[in-house]
Amino acid sequence: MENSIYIGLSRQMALSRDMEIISNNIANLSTPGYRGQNLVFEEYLSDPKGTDDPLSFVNDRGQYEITTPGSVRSTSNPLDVALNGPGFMGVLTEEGETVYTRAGDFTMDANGTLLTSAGYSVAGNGGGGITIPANSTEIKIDENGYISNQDGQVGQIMMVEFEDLQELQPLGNNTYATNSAPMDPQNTSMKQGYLEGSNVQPVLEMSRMIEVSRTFQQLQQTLQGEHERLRNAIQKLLAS
Amino acid sequence: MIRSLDIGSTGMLAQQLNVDTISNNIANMTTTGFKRQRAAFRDLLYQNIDRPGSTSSDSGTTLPTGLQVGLGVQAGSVYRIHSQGTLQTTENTLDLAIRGEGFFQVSMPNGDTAYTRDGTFQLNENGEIVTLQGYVVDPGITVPADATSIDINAEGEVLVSLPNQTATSNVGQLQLANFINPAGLNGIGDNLYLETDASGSATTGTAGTDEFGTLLQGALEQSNVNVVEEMTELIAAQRAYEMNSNIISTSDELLQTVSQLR
Repeated sequence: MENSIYIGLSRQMALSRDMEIISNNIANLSTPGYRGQNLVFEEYLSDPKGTDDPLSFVNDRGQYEITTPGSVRSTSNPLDVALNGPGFMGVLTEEGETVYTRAGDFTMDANGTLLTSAGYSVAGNGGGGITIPANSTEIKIDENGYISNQDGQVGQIMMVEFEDLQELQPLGNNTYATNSAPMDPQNTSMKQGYLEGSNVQPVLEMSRMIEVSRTFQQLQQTLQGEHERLRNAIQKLLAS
Repeated sequence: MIRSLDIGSTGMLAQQLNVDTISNNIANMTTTGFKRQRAAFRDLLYQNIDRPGSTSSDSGTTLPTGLQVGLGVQAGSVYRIHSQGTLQTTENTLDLAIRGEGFFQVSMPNGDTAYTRDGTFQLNENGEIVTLQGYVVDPGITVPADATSIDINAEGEVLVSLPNQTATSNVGQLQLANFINPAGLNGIGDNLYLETDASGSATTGTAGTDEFGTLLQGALEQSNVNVVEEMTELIAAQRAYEMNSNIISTSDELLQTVSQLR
């Protein structure tokens, strides 16, 4: 009998999940290569009495990634690369698995191995990592990901594209994993000395946050109203 | 609901670190040989609410996307960008700038070797070439007390003119050190760096050979801080900080609403 309260509650729970996603987007405002997320809601029908007048609850179905490219800024750091196009760069985890990233803020370790800022090795095109020789002075990275020093090429950064960008699941540390097979990059090129920021649009996120907050309050009043109504009904029944 | 409070605080902490790093860069705008730093951020782990690929019905259909909630941001590292700073002519005899790769080596009082790009050198009471802190530049070079002029050429040879001699005499050769990964050096203040496991061990050599840069006497390397870039980053960091604090106040409002539920 309290179904209108539960419907309101289902929406409030979905809203609090939405708030978490929004907060994560804003918290990652300056994370390189970060892609904002949005929540998808669905209607969940429940018809306990078997009438043709079902109740519709809200369910948080899943999230999707916003795939627009992030803003690219110049850093003049030779080990920063930005991707132009829909592709991703390959990264090797400690377990040797290949995951993917758009964050091109690379560094080196003491052996000259190219690393991501999380310390994962950047994948070379032929598998394995990329090692830059110790005496390199001018490191150049061309638009196809070939790294060269004064003596010639030393490796190529793995660049891939995917058919369905929504299949990529975020793992943290600016990386994504997927089960679908990567394709050769057709429309992606690399730019050295630039870094892609996150694609989070602060205005959008802030207004979504206001919306969450206000809807939450509104529902609260609905719940309160319903609560009043029930109490009044019970009191009137008792009085009569 | 508690999650978004915590997420907002991770964002504020990260932006605080960002502002700290930027302020240190701006404060060291005119520090000789200073290399700017940058904070690198990473997204934190994700919590799976609905795992992608889990079954959505008995007939084996699967969810195309999952529901994963990220838990905020973490500061990965603050690292130095060792790009060349601009050179400023000072016409001071013992001012040296490195054009290209390499570091001067400095013997610390405790016996360690430190590395620096700051070539503001002086002579101590024994005629040794020392840094501004009085640490001896390695390898130690002693300039005779009666030297009338000191010339340091591009390869780091220290040539002095002595009274009653027409030819200059060579009193030593400065050596440079380089690292495979200079970003991994440990900054200890006073414009000095120490080698770490991440930087790799130092390779030493003569200026102008292999990958080493050349020396320029009478000039100093300025910091590589680009003020315009730092100021715009500061604005962006401050706004991001504000937005993160807004997450916290909005989460607070939501919690307040909940507490009025009864």
